[in-house]
Amino acid sequence: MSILEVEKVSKQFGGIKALDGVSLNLEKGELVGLIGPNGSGKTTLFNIISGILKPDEGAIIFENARIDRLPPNRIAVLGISRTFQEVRLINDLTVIENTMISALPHFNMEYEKAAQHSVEALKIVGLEKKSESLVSDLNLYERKLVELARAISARPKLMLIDEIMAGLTEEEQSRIAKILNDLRDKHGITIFWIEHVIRAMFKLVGVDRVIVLNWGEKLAEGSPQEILSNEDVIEAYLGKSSIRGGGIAQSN
Amino acid sequence: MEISTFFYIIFSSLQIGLIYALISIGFNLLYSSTKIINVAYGEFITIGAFVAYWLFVLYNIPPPVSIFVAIVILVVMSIPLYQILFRRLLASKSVEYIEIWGVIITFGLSILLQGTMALVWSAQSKGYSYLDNVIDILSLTFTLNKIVTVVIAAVLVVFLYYLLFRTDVGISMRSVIQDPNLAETIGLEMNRIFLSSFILSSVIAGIAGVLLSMSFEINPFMGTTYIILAFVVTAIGGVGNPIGSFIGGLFLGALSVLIGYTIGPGLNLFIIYTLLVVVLIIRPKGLLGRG
Repeated sequence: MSILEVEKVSKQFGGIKALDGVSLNLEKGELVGLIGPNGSGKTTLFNIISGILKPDEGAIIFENARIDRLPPNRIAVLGISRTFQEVRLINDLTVIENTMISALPHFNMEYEKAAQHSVEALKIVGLEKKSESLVSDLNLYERKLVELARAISARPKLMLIDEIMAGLTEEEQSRIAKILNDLRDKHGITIFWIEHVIRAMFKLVGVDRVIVLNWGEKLAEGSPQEILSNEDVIEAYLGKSSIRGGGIAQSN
Repeated sequence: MEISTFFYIIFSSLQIGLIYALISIGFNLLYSSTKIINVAYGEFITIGAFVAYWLFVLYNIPPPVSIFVAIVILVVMSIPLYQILFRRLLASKSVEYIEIWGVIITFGLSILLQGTMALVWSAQSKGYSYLDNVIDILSLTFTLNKIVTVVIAAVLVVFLYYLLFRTDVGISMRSVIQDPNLAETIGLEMNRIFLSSFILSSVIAGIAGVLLSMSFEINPFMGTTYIILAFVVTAIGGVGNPIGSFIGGLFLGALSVLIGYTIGPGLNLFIIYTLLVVVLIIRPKGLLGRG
């Protein structure tokens, strides 16, 4: 059963087509990767799904209802939460408060209930011991965990994760990979995940499918193995660096 | 300096400073969460002051009780004002647009309210005597109404701290102040938070008005003085920083009292205006600065 359908979505900025008739489906309980070179429209697509941007054409259907004209806060309450490419936290607030703000709308703004629920989210990411720290005192990895906890605490059916692995050590990446796997396997959350650290997506996390965007269009879609051996993908995306890398290796 | 004079200055500073702090917190809270510079904010103070004055003169109701009446009146006033004047403006989401039109709209509202109050109650200054007989304890002299003012203002400051730092309303407001787009994306209902900020800000102004009327003369145009104070404190304490407003308010209160005691109260406003100019020259981002 599909939880999210993106139907022929287009978006222009000035003269540039950021998205050009993109269609895709997410099945309930899937963990789907979204990759593509810089400027291929990945984050634009996330912004459209979460309601920050409105599509010029096309529709977004979540659990069989159109959501592309709803304001972001209504979409969040329906069950879509997200993290951001650049970690966005409220620096004056503590870890638990940052986690709570996304839970409040789901608990009729009741402080105690939202707080209890948020402790559970912090346990999932393993940050419950730091719940009273100010987020401005945390390192990048911990800040990413807070953002992840905030997304979990919003009781999502679908989570949009935008480049969570960048700037982390391999050990930190493995720990986040485990959290993502757990979210899908134990908590039944559907995950749509943009990532530039390709190794993390293909080796650390068991993604079910990968979708590739290039110049605002869908270039390919398939299992991780299919994507890795797809010639279009290698040329458009992995190609440049692997050819250049190969060239350098040969010349040496 | 005699010890009793010293005590008098400290105590008066605390009294005036806490009222200034309240006024500034309310003003700052509204501006930082909605970007509306409420020029009519001072008139909400005036309304609170007149509520206390009339209830005392006509029905002999003590001002601490009038606070509750003032709260009700300001809440009842704020909701339609918000729906009619600000709701659509805030939906525009353009900070510049909200700032410019916010000033124009509230400037009009300010003139309207001042004019109406002057018409109905006359422009003459009014005052009443409430617990103002001098008390002498251990050779320290003070009046009881000052103590009542300090206690009420302190309780209110503690309450505001609790509200802003320990409740859902406070957490959502502070999230909106820091990152409105993020707050909306994670599901907070902006309109509800804007309305809460407006009501809270108006109510704080009204209570400050009641407290002012206990020690000072009031008139329909008094609001102008206090809106300038709120500007100055916001410039000192920082936009979006309620604790900065609190400290700035106490500082300005103490400064006013010291000026009044040493140079004379006539120069009070002159020095405060000068301070505003100096702060804005040194820190031009002070009042409207964003990042």
